[in-house]
Amino acid sequence: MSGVTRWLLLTMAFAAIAHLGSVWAAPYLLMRVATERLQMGGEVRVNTMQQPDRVTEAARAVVRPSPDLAYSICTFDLSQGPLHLRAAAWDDYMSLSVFAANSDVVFVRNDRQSAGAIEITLALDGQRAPEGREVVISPSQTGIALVRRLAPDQARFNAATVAAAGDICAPAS
Amino acid sequence: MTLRFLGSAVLMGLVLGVGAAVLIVGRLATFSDSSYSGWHGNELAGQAAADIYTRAAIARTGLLALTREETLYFTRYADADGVALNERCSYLLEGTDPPARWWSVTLYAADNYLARNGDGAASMDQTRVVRAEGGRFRIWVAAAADREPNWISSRNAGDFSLTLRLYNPEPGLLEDVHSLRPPVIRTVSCAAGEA
Repeated sequence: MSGVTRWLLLTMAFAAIAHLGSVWAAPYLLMRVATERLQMGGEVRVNTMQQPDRVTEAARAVVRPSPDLAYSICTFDLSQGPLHLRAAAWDDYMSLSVFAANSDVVFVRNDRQSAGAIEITLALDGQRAPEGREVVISPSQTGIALVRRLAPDQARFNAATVAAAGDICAPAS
Repeated sequence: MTLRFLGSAVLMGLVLGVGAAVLIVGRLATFSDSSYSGWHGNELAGQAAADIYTRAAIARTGLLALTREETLYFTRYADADGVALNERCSYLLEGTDPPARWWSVTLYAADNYLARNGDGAASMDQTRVVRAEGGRFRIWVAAAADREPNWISSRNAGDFSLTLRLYNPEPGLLEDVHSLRPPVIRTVSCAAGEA
C-alpha cells in the first residue's frame, strides 16, 4: 500500500469519527447554549422556575418560540439531589415537560391527563426521592423543564403569569 | 509513520468530518423529514428512538419540541408551486381547523426566530382566526396588512418559513399523520421584478 493510499484511508477514518462525533454532540451543545442563554449569564439560578417575558421578536434564547404560549422554564441540575417540579393549574392547554441533556423528552403530561396541578419528583437513578409524588428518572444530570400554557393574547398571558407564580422547581423535601 | 503524516491526516479528517456534519445537519430540516402536502415534519421529534441525525436536526431548528402524542410540528419553506417563501411576495394561506385540540401557524425568519418588524403579527391561532362560513379560514401572509381579517406579517423576514403546531392531535390523525389536510399556501403577488 502506497503512502498516499495509507494517508487517504487514515484521513477518511478520522473524518468518519469526527463526523459521527460532532453529529452526536450537536444536541448536547445546543442544549448547553440554550441553558446558558436561559440563565442569562448567571442572573437566573439553576433549579429555579423562571417566567420569561411574553414571546416577541426579541426572544432569542431558544429557536422557534411560540408567541401564543406562556412559558415557565427551569434549567436543572440533579447533582445535589432530586427536584420537585410543579406546574400550577391552568384553565386551558397546559403541559409540564422535561428534556434531557441530549434534548430527548423524558416526561410530558398535560392538563387533560392530570386534574389540577401537575407534580413530579425528578431524580437520577439511585437517588432517594421523598414519598408521595410520582418519581421520574432523568437519564442525565442536567436538562431543562418547561411549562407551556396557552395564552395567545396579552390578557391571557397576564393571567398565565399569575398562575405561573404557583410553578415550582426546587429541591425535593 | 511520521508525526507530520499522522497530524495532517487528523487535521484533514476533522475538517472533512465536522464540515460534512454541519452541512448535513444544516440541510436535514428539509432533507430527512417527511413531507405532508409540502409541510415538513418528523414524527421522531423528542424521542429516544430518534437517530443522531434526526436529533441533531431537530435540536437545531426545533429545540425543546414535544413528542408526537403531545404536539405535531410541521414547517414549510415554499409555496404550493415549490417556490421559496420570501417577504417580497404576498400569500394566502387557506384551510380548515386541523383535527387537534389547538393549532397555530407562526412565521420565522431564516435564523429560526421571529422576524424583527415590530408588527406583533407573527402568528395566527385557533382562538383568534376569523373563519368564513363552513369553517374555512384565509390568512394573509404579507409584509403589510391588507384585505383579509387574518394577517401574519412577513415584513423584514427575508426568506421565511411557517410552522404549523398541532397540540393534542386527535387519535385518528396520530394513526395516520399523512391523512392531515394542512392549509394550502399560494402566492398572490410579488414585488415588481421578483418571481
